[in-house]
Amino acid sequence: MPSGLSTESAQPRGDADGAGRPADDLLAVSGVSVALRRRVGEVMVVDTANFTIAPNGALGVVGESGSGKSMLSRALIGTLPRYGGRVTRGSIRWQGRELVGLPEKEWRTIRGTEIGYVPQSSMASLNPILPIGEQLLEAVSNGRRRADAEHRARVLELLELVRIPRAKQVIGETAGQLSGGMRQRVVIAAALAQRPKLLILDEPTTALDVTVQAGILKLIVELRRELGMAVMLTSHDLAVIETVCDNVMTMYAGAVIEIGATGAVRQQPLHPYTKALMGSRVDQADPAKELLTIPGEPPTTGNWPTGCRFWPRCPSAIDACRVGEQPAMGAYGERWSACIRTEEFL
Amino acid sequence: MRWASRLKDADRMFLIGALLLALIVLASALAPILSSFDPVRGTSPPMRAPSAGHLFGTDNLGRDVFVRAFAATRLDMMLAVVAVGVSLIVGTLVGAVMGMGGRSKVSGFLNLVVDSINAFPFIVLALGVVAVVGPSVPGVLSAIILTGWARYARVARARTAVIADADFVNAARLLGYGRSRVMIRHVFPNVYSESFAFALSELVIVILAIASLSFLGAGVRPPTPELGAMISEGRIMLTRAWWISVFPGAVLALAALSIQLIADGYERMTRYA
Amino acid sequence: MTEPIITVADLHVTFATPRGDVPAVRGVDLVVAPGETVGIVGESGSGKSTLARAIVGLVDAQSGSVTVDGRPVRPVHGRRSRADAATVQMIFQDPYSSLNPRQRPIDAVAEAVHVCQRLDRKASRARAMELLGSVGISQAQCRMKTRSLSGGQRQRVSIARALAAEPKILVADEPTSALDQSIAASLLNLLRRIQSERGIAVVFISHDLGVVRYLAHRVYVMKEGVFVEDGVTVDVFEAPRHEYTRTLVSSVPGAGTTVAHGHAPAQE
Repeated sequence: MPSGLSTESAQPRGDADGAGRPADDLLAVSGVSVALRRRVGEVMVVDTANFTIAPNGALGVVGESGSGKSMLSRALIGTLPRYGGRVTRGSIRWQGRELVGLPEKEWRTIRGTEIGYVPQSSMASLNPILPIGEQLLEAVSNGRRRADAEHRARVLELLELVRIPRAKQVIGETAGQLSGGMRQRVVIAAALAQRPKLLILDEPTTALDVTVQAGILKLIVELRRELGMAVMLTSHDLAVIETVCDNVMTMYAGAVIEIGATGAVRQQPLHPYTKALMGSRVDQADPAKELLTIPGEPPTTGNWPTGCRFWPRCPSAIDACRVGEQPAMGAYGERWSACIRTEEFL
Repeated sequence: MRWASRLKDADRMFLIGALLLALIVLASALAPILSSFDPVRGTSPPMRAPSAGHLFGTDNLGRDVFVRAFAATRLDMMLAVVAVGVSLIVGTLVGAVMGMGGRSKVSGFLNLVVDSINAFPFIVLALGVVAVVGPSVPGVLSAIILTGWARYARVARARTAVIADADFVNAARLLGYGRSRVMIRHVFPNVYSESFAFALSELVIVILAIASLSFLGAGVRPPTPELGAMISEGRIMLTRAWWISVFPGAVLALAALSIQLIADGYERMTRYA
Repeated sequence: MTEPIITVADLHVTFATPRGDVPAVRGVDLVVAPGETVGIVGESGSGKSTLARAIVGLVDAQSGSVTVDGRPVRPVHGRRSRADAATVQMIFQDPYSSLNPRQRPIDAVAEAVHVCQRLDRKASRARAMELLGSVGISQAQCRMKTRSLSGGQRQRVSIARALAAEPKILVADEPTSALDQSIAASLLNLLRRIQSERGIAVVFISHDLGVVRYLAHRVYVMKEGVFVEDGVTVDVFEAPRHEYTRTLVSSVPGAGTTVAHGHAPAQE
């Protein structure tokens, strides 16, 4: 356990503003591990994550399937799988208030109210038979039974906020009548109903066509600016994160392995995995350039190697990488990397 | 080694069910052999309450209820396995043909037959068959099979239609595999595994159906020991000699429970493994 | 110009639904030269997958024709000859349904070798081992249960199985869209290597402009069942002539149009 990381002064910061004080953080995650119960027993899916999000910050979490990014974002809003999903250690502080171990009743004052959440599948998060307007009304009135004219006005306002044309018609339609992009906008509108200070989006554009994706990303960028809220977005696609986020955090096999300003990471990734990930996508400027490939497959949860999780596939691995625990994040100026050889790459 | 690790991974409910079933099977295999009592001819004093000599007591004809109950369990289980086995094979084959057949006349006709049988209340249809064949072991068997195969056909039909559309079957066709190769090596094995899981869950229903038919007097007839028939016989003496009905009923319930646990566990294990 | 190995002429494909016929492909012309990689790019519902299936004979044309290697494509539901199998093979999108779950990789590929090459059991297995090795499946993985293979490994097995027929054309329908990026990259490299080593023609269907740019010599842009633009890949993406292609190209994240940061505290 990298004890040095649990002190707030050594906290890797999700925001580029390194001068911010811990108390200013909207969200401070330190030493958080998440486990799920499987048939073989409890399996760790997120291992000792440390990061912060500043007010109005935008953090992108990039990682492939099984990296733990979805479970991490679900831990932040207290919706881990009900059977056997739990935060095993660490602390999640929301504006100074501890969220780990919060009773479900109190979670309701945070989830959806202060932290909005857009889950991966927009189709699954909308009721297929209830009109869109009714569902948004529920989100607006926050479970209170009587919905008044003010609430109805707010529903229309939300639909316009997410740039849905002909909002008055859409409130009477069901999810099935809307396109994938429209549905995603409705889900975002619902997440914004209580004016959250942080919006967490889990792979918000994965199932969408590229032209629709472009619209949704543009919307997220604009909403963040208009509403002054913070954003945390997970994606397997670094390019998506570059479009929306100031900072990017890379996850691999349950571990956070790099945090930095998006532009800096794009120019010079510090961790060999981030570097390999960027090399494995088609270069816009030189599309014919041979793609870099990472040999092998990511380790499955529960079968993580000793030492650095990435060493079996890493071109730069040395003997020291193969032993001990997953290396803790080290600070390199404004940036963080969990690679023990980072100094040599700089 | 491999078995040990597989046992550890196995579903807990499956193991409990298997253990329970093993005990019941063991008891039904051994009880009639080891016991000195005859399951059909009474040699003891009648209507005796359970005691060390007669664990489940004796019935009105002086027969040992314990020996009779497990002899009956053996018969019921064998009947159920045969009935389910035959229905499974026939139904799955017919269903697979229907699922592959598309819109041919043969499959249209089979569809009509299968849907008609399935639309009928099962017990009414079974009673009808018994009325023709006669209340006996062959009567019960044919009643269960004639009504049962159509359910397997329905399951196999749906599954086949899905598999026949799967890309690995398309790939097989593109590679120029013949119809029978596609069917036997690619479609059928994938249909069969699901049908087998369905058959396990049907086993419970069939055991209960055999007992029900006999209870109604339309199945195995006394003096042959059969659980449903035993419960029926003891019914009129329930207030004076409860053990004559209650013990066979409990054995029936436990047998059904054990198989249900196995079926559920099997489904969970094959689905998530 | 050499004789094209695929010629699609005024192809229409329609699907019957309870609400009536829905056209999926509405008059498409396409040619592919031997040894060429042609990309078909489009969004969901553009009809690109239906077109791919029509080229291999998995769906029937309403009208128009598909000629492959000089002969009209044979519907898959009829009896296909060895020559048909050796003409065109397909790689499917979903790695989880494109392999028979009851077959191990070695058995799946050996069966294809046995049927297509008429080799005996032993020779088929040896050839299958070779093929699987050439797509990067280890000896141990060859004998693993399909269920325990990852998506990327499954796609490799699918490729080996298709190559068993020694086809002149490989139609790949979104073969990497279900895979993680690092896995997809190695699969794309594999396809590129196969294409150049074996000189086979590849029809590559994808919604991802990046991978099409990476693989395809020429590209067709498809929208609502018709091609809106086609040409040499570089030309189409660098200087798109059709409005839709322009939208498509500019929508790719990182293409530079939507990068807009809020008033974030991004201090240098």
